[in-house]
Amino acid sequence: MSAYEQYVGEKNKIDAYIEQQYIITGVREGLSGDWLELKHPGGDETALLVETADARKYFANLLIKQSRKV
Amino acid sequence: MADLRIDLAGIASPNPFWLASAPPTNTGYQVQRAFEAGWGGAVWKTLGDPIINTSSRFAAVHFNGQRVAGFNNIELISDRPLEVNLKEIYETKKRFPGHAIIVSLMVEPKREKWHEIVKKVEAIGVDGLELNFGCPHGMAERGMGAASGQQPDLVEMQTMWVKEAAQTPVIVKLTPNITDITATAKAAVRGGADAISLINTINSLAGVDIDTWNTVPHVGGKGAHGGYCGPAVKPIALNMVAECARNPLVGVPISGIGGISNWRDAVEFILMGSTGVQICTAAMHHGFSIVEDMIDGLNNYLEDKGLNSVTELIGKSVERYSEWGDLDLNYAVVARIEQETCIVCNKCHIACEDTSHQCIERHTDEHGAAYLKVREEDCVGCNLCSIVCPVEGAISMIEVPSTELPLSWNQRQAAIAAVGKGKEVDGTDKKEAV
Repeated sequence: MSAYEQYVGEKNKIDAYIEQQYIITGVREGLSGDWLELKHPGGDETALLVETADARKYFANLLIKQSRKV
Repeated sequence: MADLRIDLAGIASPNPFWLASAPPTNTGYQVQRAFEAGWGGAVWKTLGDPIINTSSRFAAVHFNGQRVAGFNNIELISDRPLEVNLKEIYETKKRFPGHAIIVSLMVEPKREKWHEIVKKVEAIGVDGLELNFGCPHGMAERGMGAASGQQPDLVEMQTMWVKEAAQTPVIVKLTPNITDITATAKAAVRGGADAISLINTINSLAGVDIDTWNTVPHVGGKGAHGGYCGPAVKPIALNMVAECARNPLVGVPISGIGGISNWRDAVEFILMGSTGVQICTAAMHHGFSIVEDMIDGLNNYLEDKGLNSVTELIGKSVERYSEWGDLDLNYAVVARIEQETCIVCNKCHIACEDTSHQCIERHTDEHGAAYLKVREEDCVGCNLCSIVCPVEGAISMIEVPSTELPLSWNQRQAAIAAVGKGKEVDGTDKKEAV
């Protein structure tokens, strides 16, 4: 799989949660990538391991947009 | 004709091109020849207690057919008595009153030694002084030159001593053989420096003769480290000039030095904050007449840009030089190969495949001819293919418009810090590796 395809796969998963109105509640950076903590207004929580650089950049854009909405 | 005159901390010069303190400014004969050729100023070869030089002093690094890509020397400061130099400086200034004569000085780090030489040199009428805290070889072993220049407290103290006695502007010349050049630049400013000049030469060994096993150069079979300069050091010098120019605690005029070989190099240094430039290696390689092309080139450039004076260029690129953490991560370029221009030499494909991101594919068209194509979605815009490409215009780096606002690493980390590290989610079933 090309790096781009891997990025698109990660981006789609993040987008799917955002479309379901999950918000980013935390980011834990580590050697394997960034764990993205997400929480639904209904209380459900999940975490995604984001490995590709482009996806880690992508969720940072989302995070800044999210902070501007609050 | 654009106005090429500069004023560096009160030192007026008809143009920004000065000869650096080095072998080309050893005598009145040489400096007068330089002024006749058109140089705006000269920093006289360093005066101090006269030294004894070795025979066999210079070496050059030639690279892929370019002569003198780098230059190494183990020559020391002036080996002539102070009075001889002062007489020639006086005669030169008398003959060329409109040109800038700055005298480079180096003595032991003692207050009375600095006062003595400053008073003697200024008494014959010079436009300024340059303190040589940078010479990396020979003098450093005696506690002078770079040995002084690597210790900020010594730079500050000696500058202060000079300023106690000096009537003319004092330029402190900095050594690059230090981790952070702004540390010594700030020390010079604290000591009262009117300007700084940089860089002096970089510690170097030009080479080893693989047949004789001697160093290059060698003195009767023995070598010692020298000072490296010439085109190879320009990027190092330019960065150090920029680091000083953008540091608000430095804040004094800069005389840029390091591998400047033509008017374009000079413009780069001026854009990065230099008021003027000093040149040595290019003059040693090609002679004093190179200044004619520098003057013509700079003048034409200013006219093309619609500028009246070279001073309008000073520091114009400084604000564009920043920290890595402030660069926009959303900015993107990708490589694009112009099929009509590409000679299908394969250099870009090999470079990308072996050492970068494996995104240049080799294809065959319907006529059986090979062609190269960038898989743009996987291209990270590293520039390597365009760097190794031997054909001008065959590979262009194309800007990809971003739909996102600029995002720097620092902004990203601030956003992550603001949201917090989150909390551990219980149970692996709720964690997902995407």
